[in-house]
Amino acid sequence: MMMMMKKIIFFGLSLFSYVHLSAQSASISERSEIISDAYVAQGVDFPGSLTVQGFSQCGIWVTSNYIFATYWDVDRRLTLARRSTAFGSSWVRMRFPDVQNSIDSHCTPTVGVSPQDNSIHLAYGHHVTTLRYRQSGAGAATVADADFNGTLFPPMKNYLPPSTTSITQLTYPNFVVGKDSNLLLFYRKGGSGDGDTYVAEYSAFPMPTWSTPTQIINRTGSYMGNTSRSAYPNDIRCKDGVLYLTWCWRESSSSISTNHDLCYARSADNGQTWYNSAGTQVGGGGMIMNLNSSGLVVKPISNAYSETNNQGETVDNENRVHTFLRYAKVAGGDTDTYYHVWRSTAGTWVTKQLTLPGATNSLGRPKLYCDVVNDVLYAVCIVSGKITIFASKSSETYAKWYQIFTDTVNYGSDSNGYITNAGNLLYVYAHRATSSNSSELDLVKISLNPSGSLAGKPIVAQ
Amino acid sequence: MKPVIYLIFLAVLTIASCKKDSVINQTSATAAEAQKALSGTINVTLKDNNNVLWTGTNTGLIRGTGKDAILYTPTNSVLISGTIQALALGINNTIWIGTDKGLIKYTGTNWFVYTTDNGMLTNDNVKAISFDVLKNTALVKLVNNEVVKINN
Repeated sequence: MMMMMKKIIFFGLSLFSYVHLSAQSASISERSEIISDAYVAQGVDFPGSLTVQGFSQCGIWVTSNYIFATYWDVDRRLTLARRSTAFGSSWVRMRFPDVQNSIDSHCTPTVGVSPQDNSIHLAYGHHVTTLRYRQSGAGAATVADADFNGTLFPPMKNYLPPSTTSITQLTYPNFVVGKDSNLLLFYRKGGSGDGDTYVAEYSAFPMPTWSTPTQIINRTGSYMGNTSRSAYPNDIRCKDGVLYLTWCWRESSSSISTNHDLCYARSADNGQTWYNSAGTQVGGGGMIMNLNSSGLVVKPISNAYSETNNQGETVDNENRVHTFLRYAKVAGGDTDTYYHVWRSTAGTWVTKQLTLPGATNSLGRPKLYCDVVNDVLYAVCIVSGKITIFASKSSETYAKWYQIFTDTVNYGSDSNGYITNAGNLLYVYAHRATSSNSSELDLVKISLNPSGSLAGKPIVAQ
Repeated sequence: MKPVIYLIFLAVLTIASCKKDSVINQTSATAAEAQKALSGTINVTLKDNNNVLWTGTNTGLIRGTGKDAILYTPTNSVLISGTIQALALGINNTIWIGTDKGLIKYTGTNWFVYTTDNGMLTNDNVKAISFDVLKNTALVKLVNNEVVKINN
């Protein structure tokens, strides 16, 4: 009888596992430990991982052959690690001992690689502080493992050459590959609720040169009596040489309860001129985008909703820009609500509310990726400490989302990652949850099955 | 129909020639900067295995001569200083460059930097370099007369 019971239980569990697994269309391909003890701030004003935060767009950088990862080690010293994209490859690393980072989770490190000359660019440790920047020579990204060390970089600069003017009051540096494969550096100058957004452009030809930074968004304008603010861009994407920028305004550093609106602009010349959703020029030619610029707000959002800043953005195969927004409040309470907001091919903006399982103050900043081959959107979130992926298809007009993956490991934070051009592999940079001052930093490679049908109980967009 | 085709052809030709001019102007500008640097103080010269002349000045390192000359400075390369005080030729046509703020190795494709910042030198002021081919090692004489050996 006992034996029979065991068989029934075993059969039941097997059946459950089969049904559970068959409903998944994503799975762990590889979990690569980058370092076992990267610094985590505890008991300070800005706690959490010093390396992996939702606002960091390029803590990792993926090229056709290599993956680069930056982190602050247990002594809060900067390290750049690199490994081949091939399965199971080992990391090689270089450590820069000259700077010890502040205990402030804003100060994440970022890395960018110029596709033009394979030079490596690092910006690190900023929260309204002077630029910390290192630029390697050409070819550094592809040297042999034996040569991947600190000799690839001259000492740190606080300017972007050929200018020698220090860039001050900088936060949120993020690299993006723009038109003509020029590398772009976006950053905020000034404080939260009182700052401007800039972009600078790196070209390797005829000689490696940064442009003078251009101010693209200005803090001015009046909102409910307040006369200064800052833009908080979502992940900045460039597709086919066009930059797609979405952001919210923030009136004060004190709270996300001063965040409001979803704004949008695009640029086809690496940020020199900008156009709103209707195609009217709003930036460049003597204009700088600001609160009063025509048609920037594509979705009015009251500050009463406490819209989160630095959220997910992506662009699909039909050049429709998508955002995945979280509001921390709804009428009557502190309940998270999530919205998929996108620009249709006709130029109208569509909003769908999503009720995500387990999403109660636990998703942080969802990141959004598009498999442009199969036109599948992937939203990556941390739900109850687990990396969780929701997916939605263009062919279903994004009316349904499916929970296609839930990890087994507990993570404290993740940041923007990378989806391969084929849309079959997603890289997520994640820091394990801990109550101590250090924990393991992982590169999580997740296999996607974009050509397969999305399975499971759909979450209907309302 | 023919005039239309002719006009399209003319437009394509104009765009193509504009692009070409742009490249020539950029190259000329680089060469002009190099010529200007060459007209100043020359500290050291070196001819590499490909008969390319390298010239160290107080305003940068010049590769080549005439219209093909390229001026490397701290603003367009990893040179940590424009004051070039020493040059030496290593194996595989590697160029070793000594400056008042550190040592550089240029392999033709990659640049490597040796300074006190990355712990490779005890003093950044490089006065002379010689290269021991048998040991594949650069002998770097610093301003304090210390000699540092750096294996290639």
